[in-house]
Amino acid sequence: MSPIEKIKYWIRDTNPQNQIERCKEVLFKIYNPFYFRNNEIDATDLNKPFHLLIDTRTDRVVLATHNAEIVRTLSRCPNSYYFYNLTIGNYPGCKVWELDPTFDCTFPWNSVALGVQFFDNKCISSNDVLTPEQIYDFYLLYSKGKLLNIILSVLESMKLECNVNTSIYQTSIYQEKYNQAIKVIEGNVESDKQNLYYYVNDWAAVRNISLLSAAKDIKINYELTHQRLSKIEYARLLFTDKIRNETDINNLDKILSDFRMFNFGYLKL
Amino acid sequence: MKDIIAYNSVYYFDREFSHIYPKIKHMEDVKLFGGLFYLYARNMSINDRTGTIQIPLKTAVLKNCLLPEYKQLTKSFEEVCNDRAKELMAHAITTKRKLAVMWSGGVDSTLILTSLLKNCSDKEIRDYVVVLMSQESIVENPYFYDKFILPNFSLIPANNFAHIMGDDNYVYVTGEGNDQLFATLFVIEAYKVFFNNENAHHETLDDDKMISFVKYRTGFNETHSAKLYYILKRLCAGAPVNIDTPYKFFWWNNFTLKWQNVYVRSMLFAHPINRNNIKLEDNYTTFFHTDDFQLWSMNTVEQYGRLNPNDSNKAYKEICKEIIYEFDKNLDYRLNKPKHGSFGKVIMSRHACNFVTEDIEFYNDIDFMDSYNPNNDFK
Repeated sequence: MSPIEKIKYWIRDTNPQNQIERCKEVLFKIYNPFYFRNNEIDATDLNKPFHLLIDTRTDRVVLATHNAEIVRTLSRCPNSYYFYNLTIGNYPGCKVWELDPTFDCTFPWNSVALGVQFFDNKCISSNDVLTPEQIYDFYLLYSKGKLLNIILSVLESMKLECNVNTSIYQTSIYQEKYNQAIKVIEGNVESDKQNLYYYVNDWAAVRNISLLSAAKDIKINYELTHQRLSKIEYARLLFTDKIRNETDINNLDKILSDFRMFNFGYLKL
Repeated sequence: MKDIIAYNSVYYFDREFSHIYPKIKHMEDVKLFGGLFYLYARNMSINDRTGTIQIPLKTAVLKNCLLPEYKQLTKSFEEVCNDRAKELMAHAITTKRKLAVMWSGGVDSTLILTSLLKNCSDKEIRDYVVVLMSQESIVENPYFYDKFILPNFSLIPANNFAHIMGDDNYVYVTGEGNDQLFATLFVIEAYKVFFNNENAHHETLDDDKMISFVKYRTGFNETHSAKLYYILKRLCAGAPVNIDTPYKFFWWNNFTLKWQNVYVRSMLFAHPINRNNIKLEDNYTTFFHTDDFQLWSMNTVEQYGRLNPNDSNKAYKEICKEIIYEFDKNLDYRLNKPKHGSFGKVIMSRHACNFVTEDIEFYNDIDFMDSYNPNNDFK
């Protein structure tokens, strides 16, 4: 059964407890945008308040359910999702819950607030209509979350490229090799008959180079890897800070563009 | 604010990345000038050091970037390299600083280290030279790394370059400028591909062909492409040799318009802690930034037609590879080393200022109208 089919299934389960359990089963798949690209869920529950869960990476509805508890569970996800409750449309015989065609998805705070009810994690059961300012803050917060998620994903993949921490044991080996290399360089050790610097000795034998050269090789490669990681960490701190402090939603595109220029721009040009 | 000596062209003129460009592209002169970056390289700062062309930005040419007066030079390229290596070592010893050489593994930076190893004693190398390198440097030239870098030099990660610039314990040295001595390969390759002719760059300069190439590179219409081309052609009138082939055209443009850019562009990345302490030609220089190197280039452009695939003696930077080969005997590197730009790899994920002014002040943003020069030749 595909993840999409599973979700369709648990949306329609009438037992709220089952719904939550199934939700947990597929939750990690919801996190993964690849599962949901170009897929839409056909969920047409009627006569109930209708909660939409939006994947902010793709701006697609990934979950539609009337069960507030499910939405509450999913709302514990990272910032990549936001949800809102729409109470629009009243057709003879039954209520149909759907997006208002006049609803401005790009600038939701410009829409008429009375027709749209937004909820955040803490007030999911509230029916209070939000003011345009509150909607703006809400939308800004989730847009920032979306942007941060994009940037952190890129940085995370860059960290993986460094590929240094294959295991905790390997990490400790690298560290000890580096410590020994430093001692060899600082002591200007040319030969090590007592095998005090066994990691460096072994590396010198493998590369067929002198002890001192092997020590320099270990040292520079260790430092290069960590410097690369430090650049990625610097980018993470810099852009997290920029996003955190941004109060104008119109500037978020510029932050993304700055990141592209910062990270890839010069290479691409 | 003083005039600008280096700027990030992407910030003002890039059609994809710039936030400023959409607001200024209605200005015909700005749009035309912006096309130059698509003709040559999108991330560069163009300054005409011959004073022939007025560009739409208030820029200044540094005194030590002015074009030297042409005269005959009898020294060989190797002799010029040797002299420069000795000069830099003497400067390091006198000022008690270490030469911090950026080594990418490429031809230019390997030539610097080769020249230093040939002309300085082991003690001098040990006491006065450190090499800044990255993992890409090892991949680029593993043989030189094993045989010459590891046994001889102290090593520092290249990422530290931003802190080393302006640090008075070091003289920051790069291989910038050598590309300009030999012309820019990438635009010439593009020219050859456009005309589907391996020797197109050595054919007689043809205005119509050049205009069509400018049109292809810039995306301009015929009129604007021609206007831009003829502005660039005016530059050629001041060249010491007859600019009669596309190769020479690109060489001269690159040599005159981009020289200052490559000299100062590293500075844009200097760390704030040291950047106000950068002293040109004291703790900051490039190996190839001497009058002799420039005169050698002007004297030999006819002799080193270069880039002729049918004659390996005239391959790109062959003379540099010869000098390296005579030293390290690595035939594979001499024959097979392709051209890679290394600057981009070093600056990746690196914060940069967008402007440096004549008084070595750094700016992230300058309002375009504050730097706009209305009296320019692009109108």
